[in-house]
Amino acid sequence: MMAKRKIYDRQDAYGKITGKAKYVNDLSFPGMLYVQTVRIPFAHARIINIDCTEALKEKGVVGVYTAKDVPGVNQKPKDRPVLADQETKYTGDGVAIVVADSKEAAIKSVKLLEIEYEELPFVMDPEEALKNGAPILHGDTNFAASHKTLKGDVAVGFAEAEVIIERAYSTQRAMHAAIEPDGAIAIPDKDGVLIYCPGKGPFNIKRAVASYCGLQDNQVRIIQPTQGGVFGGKDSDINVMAARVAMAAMITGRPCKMVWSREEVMEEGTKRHPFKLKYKVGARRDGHITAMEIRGLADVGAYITKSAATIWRATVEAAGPYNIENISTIIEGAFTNNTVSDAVRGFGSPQVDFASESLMNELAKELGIDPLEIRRINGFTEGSITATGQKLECVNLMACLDKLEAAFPVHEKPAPAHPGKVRGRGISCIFRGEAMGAGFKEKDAAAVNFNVEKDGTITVYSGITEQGQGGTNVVLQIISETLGVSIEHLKMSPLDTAYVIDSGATVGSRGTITSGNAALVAANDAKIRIAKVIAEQWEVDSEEIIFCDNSIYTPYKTRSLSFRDAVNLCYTVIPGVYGHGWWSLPPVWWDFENNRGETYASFNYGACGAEVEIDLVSGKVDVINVVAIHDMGRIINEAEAKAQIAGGVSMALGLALSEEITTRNGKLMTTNFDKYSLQTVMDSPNIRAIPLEAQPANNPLGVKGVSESSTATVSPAVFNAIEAALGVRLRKLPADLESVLAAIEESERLGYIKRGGSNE
Amino acid sequence: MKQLAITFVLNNKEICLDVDPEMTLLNLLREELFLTGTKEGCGTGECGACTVIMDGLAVNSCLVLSAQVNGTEIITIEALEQDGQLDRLQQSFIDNHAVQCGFCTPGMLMSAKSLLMKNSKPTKDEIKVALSGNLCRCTGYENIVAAVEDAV
Repeated sequence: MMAKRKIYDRQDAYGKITGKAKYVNDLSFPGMLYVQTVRIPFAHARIINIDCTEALKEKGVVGVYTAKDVPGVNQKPKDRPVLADQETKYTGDGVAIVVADSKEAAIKSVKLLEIEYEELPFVMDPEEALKNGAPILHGDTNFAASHKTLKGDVAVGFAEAEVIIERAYSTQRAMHAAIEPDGAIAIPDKDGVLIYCPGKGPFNIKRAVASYCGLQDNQVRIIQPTQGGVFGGKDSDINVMAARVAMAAMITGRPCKMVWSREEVMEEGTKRHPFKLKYKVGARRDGHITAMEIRGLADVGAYITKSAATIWRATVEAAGPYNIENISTIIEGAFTNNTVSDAVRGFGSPQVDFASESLMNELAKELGIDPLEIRRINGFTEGSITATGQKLECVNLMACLDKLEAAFPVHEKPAPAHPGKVRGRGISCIFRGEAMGAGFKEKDAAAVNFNVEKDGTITVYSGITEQGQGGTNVVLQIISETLGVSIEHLKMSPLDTAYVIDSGATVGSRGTITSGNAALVAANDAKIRIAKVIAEQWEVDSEEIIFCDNSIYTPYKTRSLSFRDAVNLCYTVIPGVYGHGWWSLPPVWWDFENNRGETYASFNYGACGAEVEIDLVSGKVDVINVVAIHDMGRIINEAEAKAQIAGGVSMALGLALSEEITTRNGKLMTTNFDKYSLQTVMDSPNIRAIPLEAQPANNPLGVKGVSESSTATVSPAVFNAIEAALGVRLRKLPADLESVLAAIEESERLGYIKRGGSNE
Repeated sequence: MKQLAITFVLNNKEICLDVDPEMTLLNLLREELFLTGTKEGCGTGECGACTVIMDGLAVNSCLVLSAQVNGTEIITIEALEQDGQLDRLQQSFIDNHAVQCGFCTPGMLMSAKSLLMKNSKPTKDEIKVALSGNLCRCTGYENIVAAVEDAV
């Protein structure tokens, strides 16, 4: 049906390379005011009084507003408020907003507010938070969420085991770090508010603002400007921010803008959940795993947001892509006075994958089995049963492992290291549930609509957001190929909730699966409509009509019309020429009583190989090569798929080596990019991204998502490589200089390495 | 705030302005001159999204004060495309799939442009050094480096 491997340029590239693309901070409106958030520099505080007298005297200040000015429901139980009312629960909580006619005046007047507050005891560690006597954030307990899976009987499984090991792993608090800081502009309307803001779920933002501001859903309209990176963020942060500018606009009657500084993104913005995970695994000497028991605790931070769903995904995936008859998993979440944990690319998978894939190597070492071999012995194949009792189909794990063996020298010794350094290689593999899954109640579906214009061009509307991933181009490409119309004749409309159909949030790597298949349905809808008209004119069967090369033909090309002329003809016969398509993922379910279910409609698989070189003096780990293989079912745009995998690898290398949000005495220490280290081009290894077409997925396009899986495989591969180089295992993300140096000392003490030499 | 009269060349046009001498070049471009192609990502010179070319050198415009701009020549992203013709680097960014969210792209392009203005045949390592002050969260840098190599 579709020409493969055609290279498509991105339609959004031109605006981005010329500086013409408008991001939220590039927009301004006549009479616009600037809104700045006021915070309390203490992790847990009771607000006694906010004195605005001096701030209001400042030139240009229009108003200062607090929680009592929020027009609707300021806070749902345990969730984020627009502005904290009586108590702040972390240093990012806003307590007031200052509105002024310039950004400078707004910033200046923030310092003039006199806030009287009482410092309350705070807790930053989730284990401490669950102990008796800990300061409580919400209600009468810090216990926030818990999920379980239970398969077989682990007592029986451990009794069958010949080897049992127990290991504990932990992951850090990390951030999305989109280079574009969050921002929103609200413009008051006579019966509502129009908001320009980035965000992965414009309809979620709309509903949140309506609730926060006491409006009906249809009184809030969201228009998305170009957005500068999302990575799971621009979610509850934008909800709160959009509500702040919306309330300011409703009160003042003027357009109101807020864009966070990078320091504010760090201070208030949500982060990835840190996890503490304990694994116990039993196996026979031949490598077969007989039982696995997993207990975990996630740091939810100050408010709940989507933590329950994140923990659910982590629980479902925690045992890894392995056939294990007996599994017991319990992962809980606890509130702390840390920044709010929320969705970040991977949504719980990278944390459990780091632990389970480190564990597989530890088990392999204990058994004296090759790390690739132990994965092949236990790995999922067609018809395998997951920890939740789900029978799997379209399982491509072995294809990923075979490709890894072919593309990465798994069994060869690393090349000699530079003097004073040692090298090692490591691997990992994963499975990951596709799209939203049964952890969310909503039907997982998307719609694509388009209007075929009288000149033969096509105007497309999609509810799936463009975040940089190239998702809008996928939709255009599918319509273009199905109707045989050059992609240059298609245009994606800006995402405006006034016109597009609610297609859920662009999360869970669901964009291509949902909107790609919806685009196919829409294109076929238009095709049938056009073919029927032309077939009647030509007195042929409509199914014989062929669409290609911007034209419409009969077989043998006995009759032909340009697409444009065909469309014009249609307009004289039928009321309109358009395509409309919905597509829903097959149903999934979860039995919360018995902790079983069909969790995801499909799963994707991945494998990774990493080679590291470690400086024995500084402890610096250089990643030299990464091979990342991802089962994509069917690839729509290979170049963009590779680009997205490479980006996921880069983000995951940050998780593995350098990124960590830290606090001291409840205060945030990592306040900007000088202290929170992203990977730079200098750190970047050779990344070989391999999107794999092993067998198509079970949907009309045969596609799977790839965004998040590419962040999930890398950190365990890197840690397994470090272990291969040093003979010593690190179990805490990230592998910072301090922990690597400690491992080097341990390695030397155990006689694995000698400093001043290499392991060659 | 006392205003300072400055004169400089911006994208081949002579600009004479009274400015707040403490205003950054970034804000001068974005807020006074309506050139929003130059982006702000961190405000502290760490991310490179605000990179422009000042007297031939790539600089973080968030760290340059408008008083320092007097008498200099500034080139921004808005000047790369000339008479509807994309700069070779811009075309190469498209061809090499080096653009995702696009927020770092203007800064990346200006760092690369500054390099190519000084060194018409840079090595891969020289390209990486030139881009080392520009953070990108989407691409993993591979395609960006390839795009610059391809434009040489």
